[in-house]
Amino acid sequence: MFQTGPPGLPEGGGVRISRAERRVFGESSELATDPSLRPYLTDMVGAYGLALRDPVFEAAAGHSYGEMAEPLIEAMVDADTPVDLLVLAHGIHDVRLGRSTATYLSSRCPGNPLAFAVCDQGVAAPFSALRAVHAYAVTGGCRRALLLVAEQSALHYEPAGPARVPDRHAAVAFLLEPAAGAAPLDVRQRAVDPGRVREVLAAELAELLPGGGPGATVILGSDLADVADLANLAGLTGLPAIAAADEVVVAPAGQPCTGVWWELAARLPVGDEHGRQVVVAEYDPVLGYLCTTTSPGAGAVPGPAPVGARGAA
Amino acid sequence: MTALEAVAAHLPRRRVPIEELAGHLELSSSQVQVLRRVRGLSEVCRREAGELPLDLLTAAVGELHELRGREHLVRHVLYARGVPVTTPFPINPLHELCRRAGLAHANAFTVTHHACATSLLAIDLAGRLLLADGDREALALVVAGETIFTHDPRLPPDARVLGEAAGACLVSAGGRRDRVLAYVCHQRGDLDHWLTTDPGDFAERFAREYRELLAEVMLAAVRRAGLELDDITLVLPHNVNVASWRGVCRVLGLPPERVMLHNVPRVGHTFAADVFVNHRSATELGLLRPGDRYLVAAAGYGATFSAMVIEH
Repeated sequence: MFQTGPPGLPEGGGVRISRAERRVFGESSELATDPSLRPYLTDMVGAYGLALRDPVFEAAAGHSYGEMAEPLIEAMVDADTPVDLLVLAHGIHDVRLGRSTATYLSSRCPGNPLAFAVCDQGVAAPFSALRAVHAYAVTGGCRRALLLVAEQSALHYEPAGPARVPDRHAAVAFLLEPAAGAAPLDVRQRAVDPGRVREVLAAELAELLPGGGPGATVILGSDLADVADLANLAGLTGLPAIAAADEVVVAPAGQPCTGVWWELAARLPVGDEHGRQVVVAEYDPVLGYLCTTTSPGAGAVPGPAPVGARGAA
Repeated sequence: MTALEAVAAHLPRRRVPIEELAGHLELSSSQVQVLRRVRGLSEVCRREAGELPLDLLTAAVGELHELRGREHLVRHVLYARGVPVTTPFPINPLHELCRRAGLAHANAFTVTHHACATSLLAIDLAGRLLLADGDREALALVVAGETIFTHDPRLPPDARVLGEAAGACLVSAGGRRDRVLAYVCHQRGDLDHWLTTDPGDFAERFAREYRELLAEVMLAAVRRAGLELDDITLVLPHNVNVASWRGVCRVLGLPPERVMLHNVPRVGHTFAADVFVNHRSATELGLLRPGDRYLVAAAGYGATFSAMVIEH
């Protein structure tokens, strides 16, 4: 049971990623065969004049974030180190339409944490989830948290607008603990018109990588790379922080919501003896959110504002 | 301290007697009679044909007059949604709502998986986000409101009868009005008929544990606020039905007249919007005086049981 009085005033420190796991799921979930799926979706898409895709039903395609998250929880959280907050972030919806999956996962996770989902924000949702974890951590709402980012690849109807549907079922989990003197995660989100993304990103990276980027890894969302023309070296002109980075990675386009987190998980732990810093940058071209987060290296100095809510740029 | 700066609600004018819903909801005439005579249901609010969730949410935000001229202060917009999936991907009423309300600069997302108690979670989260941001002037907007687009015959009769309305609430991290003193939430993922493809006896188990679990979080919230139940002037319930609230009152030893059941027979249960709908009614009816401590309680399938103590 989660119990709180008035939240405490923010304490310094914030959270850091202490562990990560990532996984793809080759098979569909048995829940994709539930007979309730078709009538639910028929009713839901009917009001919008959209057609169902019979072949997707016939293939019994789709996965559930509950079943995808469970093995990650098992791998990362044991009874000796329970978590007290679990946040599930996703873009495309679960194939298990009516289940409050975060609540289900709370019952499957050591610590029976306060659990909820963050969605309806495209690729920006995991960043908001990370900010939620930070907010609970610095106001006394949690000590140890699990962030789950998941996406499944089955859409049983014609999409209602421009959207990238994942090409595989994938999930990434991050264990977040108090930064305890280390530099905390720095998460930033702002509304940016597509035409200004490159300019705003350059300014943001200049703040996040004040040394210009040497020794750092920069992970770019595939949409961001497209919008800001960063997919080739010529596109890096004017973005010295990226140009100078040790490693620049463009996340797989087939994992629109999990892609950058997938790449981040592969590069953890950060803050090793070399002080490698990882910066993640993502842009949602439909909703217009530019998001960044950085896991500072061991030698980095905590910034004055670990998490910044930014206005329109 | 997290505070509700202003609360608004939009109730569609259309009222539908529960008898008119019986056919679609697969309710027998005897079940309808029980709902009316025992459960205290009568009619429910329903949107006009063709209206979508966006229309309800827009109307609720339109009622939030305290937002006018302060749009630039809103940093976060949280859509507290009870049902996890309600619109075809990637349709998303939240961002169009923000554009209409002059809030396109805000960080807007949906928070869900607490069923009809999600609005309480959203208030708690909004307050913490604002505190963490460190801007004392900043505000968050929490909205709630859903439409009924499908029918789940696995639900018990009283849970099939739902209303449609929307609410909106401005949250601050340091305001003086309606200050949140405590929040308690108990999640029981095992009490969910969506758990597996076979819901089994979920409805019986949920019904068996419902009163005790809701009473437990209500009492825990009161004590967490440093109060006793006698200090609570009013309970703002979720509008599921009258009989279940009488049962919760019996468990708590709480006089039923302290629970505002005004909207159960005339509005119905409007998912996560009940909190705001009932807050507005309580204010309009003059049931809250400055300094009153009141308790907001909600629960939903999934299952989540939540309570929040607020000082008016």
